[in-house]
Amino acid sequence: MARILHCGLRDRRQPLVSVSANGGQCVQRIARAGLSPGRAHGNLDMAESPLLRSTQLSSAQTTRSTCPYCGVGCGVLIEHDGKHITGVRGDPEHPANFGKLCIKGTTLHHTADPALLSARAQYPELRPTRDAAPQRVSWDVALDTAAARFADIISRHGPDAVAFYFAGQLLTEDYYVFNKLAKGLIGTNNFDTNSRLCMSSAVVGYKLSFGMDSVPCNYEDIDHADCLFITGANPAFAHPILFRRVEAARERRPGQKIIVVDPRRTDTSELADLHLAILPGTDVALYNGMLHLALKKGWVREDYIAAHTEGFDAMREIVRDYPPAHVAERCGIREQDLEQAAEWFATSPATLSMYCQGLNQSTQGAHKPAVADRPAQRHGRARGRWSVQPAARPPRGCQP
Amino acid sequence: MPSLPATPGKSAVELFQALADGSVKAVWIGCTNPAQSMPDLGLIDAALKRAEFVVLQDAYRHTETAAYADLILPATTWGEKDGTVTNSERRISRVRTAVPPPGEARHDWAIGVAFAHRLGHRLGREDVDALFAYDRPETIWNEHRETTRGRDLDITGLSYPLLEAAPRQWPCPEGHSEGLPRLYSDGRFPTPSGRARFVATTWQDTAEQTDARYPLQLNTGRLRDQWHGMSRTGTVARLYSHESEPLLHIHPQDLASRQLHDGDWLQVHNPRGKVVVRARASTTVPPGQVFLPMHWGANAMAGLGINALTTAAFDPLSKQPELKHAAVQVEALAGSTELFCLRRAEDGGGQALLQALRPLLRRLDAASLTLAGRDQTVVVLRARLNAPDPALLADIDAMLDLGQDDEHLLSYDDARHQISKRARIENGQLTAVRLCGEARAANWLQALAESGTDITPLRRFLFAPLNHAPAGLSAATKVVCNCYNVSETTIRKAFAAGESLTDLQQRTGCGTGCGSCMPELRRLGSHTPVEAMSL
Repeated sequence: MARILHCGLRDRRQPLVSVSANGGQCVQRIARAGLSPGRAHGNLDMAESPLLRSTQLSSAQTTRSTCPYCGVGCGVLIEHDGKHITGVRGDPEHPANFGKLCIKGTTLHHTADPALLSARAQYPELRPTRDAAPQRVSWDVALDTAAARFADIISRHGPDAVAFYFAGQLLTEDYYVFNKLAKGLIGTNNFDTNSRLCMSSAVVGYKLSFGMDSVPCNYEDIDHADCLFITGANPAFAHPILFRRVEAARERRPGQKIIVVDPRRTDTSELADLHLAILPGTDVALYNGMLHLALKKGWVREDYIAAHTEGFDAMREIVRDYPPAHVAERCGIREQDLEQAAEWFATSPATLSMYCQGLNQSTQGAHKPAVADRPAQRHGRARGRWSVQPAARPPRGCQP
Repeated sequence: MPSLPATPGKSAVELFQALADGSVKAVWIGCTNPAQSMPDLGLIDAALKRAEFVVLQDAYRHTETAAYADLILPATTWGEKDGTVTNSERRISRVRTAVPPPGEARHDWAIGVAFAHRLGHRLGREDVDALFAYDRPETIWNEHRETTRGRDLDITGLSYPLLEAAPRQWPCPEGHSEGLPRLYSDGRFPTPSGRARFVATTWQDTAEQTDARYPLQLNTGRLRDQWHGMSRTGTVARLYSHESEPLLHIHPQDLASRQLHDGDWLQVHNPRGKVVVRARASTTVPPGQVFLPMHWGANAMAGLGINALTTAAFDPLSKQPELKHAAVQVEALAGSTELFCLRRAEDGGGQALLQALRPLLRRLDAASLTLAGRDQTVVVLRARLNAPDPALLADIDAMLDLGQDDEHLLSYDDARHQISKRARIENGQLTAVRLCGEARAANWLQALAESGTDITPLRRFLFAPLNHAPAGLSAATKVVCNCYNVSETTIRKAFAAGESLTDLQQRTGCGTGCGSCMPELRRLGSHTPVEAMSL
């Protein structure tokens, strides 16, 4: 059954969207002219359509927002009555997901169910002593207590005696304020986030290779890849909307090759043409081995390397020590699989690598992305490397 | 700003190490749950206990970290917040307020501003009012935008009005109206030389290696339906249905060599800590490697959580810890008294019941506390006891409304075999169960409680030691398609009977919703499953 909803947006050009029951994947647009400017959040006053009138009676509104979970960063349409959230759909216009949502996004409105209110923190609470139960206090008391304690510690022990530990799940604005507070007001750089557990290695890897922390490509590049090199990542579970894109690309391009590097068998590796179940922690050996083979077989674009890169000679020296038999044994894979991976990676017209925590959460994490990228650089596809951040990233300039 | 501090600050692991050794005395934690998610939870526990002052700013009241907080500040969350976020293709999107927050919860940025004012005055900073004169997110973002001028993430060409119309990629410097979709297409890179750099790296082994005492490699990672520490996803019963409790994924060979079986309780340990969970026999991991989902913490299990085992060893450049490589040993668990309890949540969400039951986890060595069900939430407590514990059982019975001998209560006691069972029946429905000493019927009793089926004809079977339900009933099984509630059993039966994936999808709707189950559907349809998986 189609439902007509008004998108409560301030832009009068926004069309009404009709969505069918099966998860928002079928979308028809009904162009709607003449919405008055300045009508935020569905203050419906349009009597033209009987369907709209019924929507108006139930005060159903829609607010365009973003999913709070992973780094794919899907657009969502929040359905609500101004007081409570009643549903959620994928935003058909958002370029990350075009209306799709994974199971976590799809169930977001359940997390806002009034029955779950007792799970929420609603009032400031203060423990008078460590072993006492927390007691509700006013915001005034809470903030004054915090300020007094922090000021006291700072005056006695200096600004570096306090620290802040925040999250990649914060909005940019939240993150900015607390960074300024810590670094500008208090004068400490003791500010970190759970992004440290997630994508710091990716950041350093990009800086080492390219000089700046930035993902070079787009989700759209999945559609154009002839070879997908998914290493240390399980997007079928961690970034399902991107994996839908991988699945769709595979359907459209029967010749596409998917290589998955993961010690485990996962739903992602099930889609692979080649699953390299390397022994844990042997990634760098694998990439060095792939490069060794590419050099041996002449799959290297010397002209691009000469024109746009540096450090190749030092690297050539290193990978001399990574011949296929040795690498296959080190990684616990078959030599012919190593060769196949190197060939597909190196000789496909467009190769895209996707990586995540399998590389990042490692004591060689900063180098792994840089090393994984090497084959792409080598073949003039320097832009084809891409880490899928599990969480939306905070803005730059905040690394100590 | 007059100046910024020169000394680099402490990264996450270093920060908690400094709290543990006392050099950092206060920590303000916001929007995250380190007592679940940081590696080496023994260190985190010591750190938060030693700290003089711990502030927790969060939307959720009962995270593992909240137990350590001296001051809790309620924050707004998704659906209430207003601002921007950036995704993995450098696209900045607006996050917009739909509904007001509950109680006195405030926006994270507003909490920071209010605190800054008060702290600033105490520190004698007369400039604080001007520095933190923000009235709304847009003014903050505009200031942030200005700091990006001339830098790699230059967004001086963007504005809130532009972002209202559509999300935009960075960089987008002033003078441009669209972000740059792809970088380095011209072969020029932002390094001093303008060239991309090859990073010559030799292979090094992981920080922790297996040995004779700790011969198994522990990997950690995500489940399909849970997010991080489960403070949000863990409140929704149906999100437990894909993997319903903390489980160690372990190869059948590694189980067999320890005389263990699928579903057995076992302990996973190394010098850093111990985790007690049930086994899930699986060939998705090779022999010699085991896997624990990253999400489970002290709210869902006995002990500190799965990160009691992970190492805080970190990359020297990125400071990111090696969460994916630890050495562990797996052993059978002493004690043989099985405990299985469930209670249907009368309030819809089960949160009050979860909070009431959580202290029990601190009294147990082997336990899990989870939600189950879909339209009807059921709270499930499983445990393995060394011996029957009458005081513990009395406490549990009281919490589950099984303590009073009224018309709703059914009891069974077999003192000789140390078996004791209770059930509560209301209006013909099973609303609570407590099995001690023998729990073979757990799964189908759970299915009864979840579905609200009339159990009147089944009363005489309720306490029988039956693995399988009386004819016609199904057990609680793994749900593969969450959107349309299609179980693995249904899917396997369909494929075994020769039904095609397309026909199955037509008939049940599975895979036609969000699509997250498609990889699994294809896998189930493509070959005969060889794993023993059901519990």
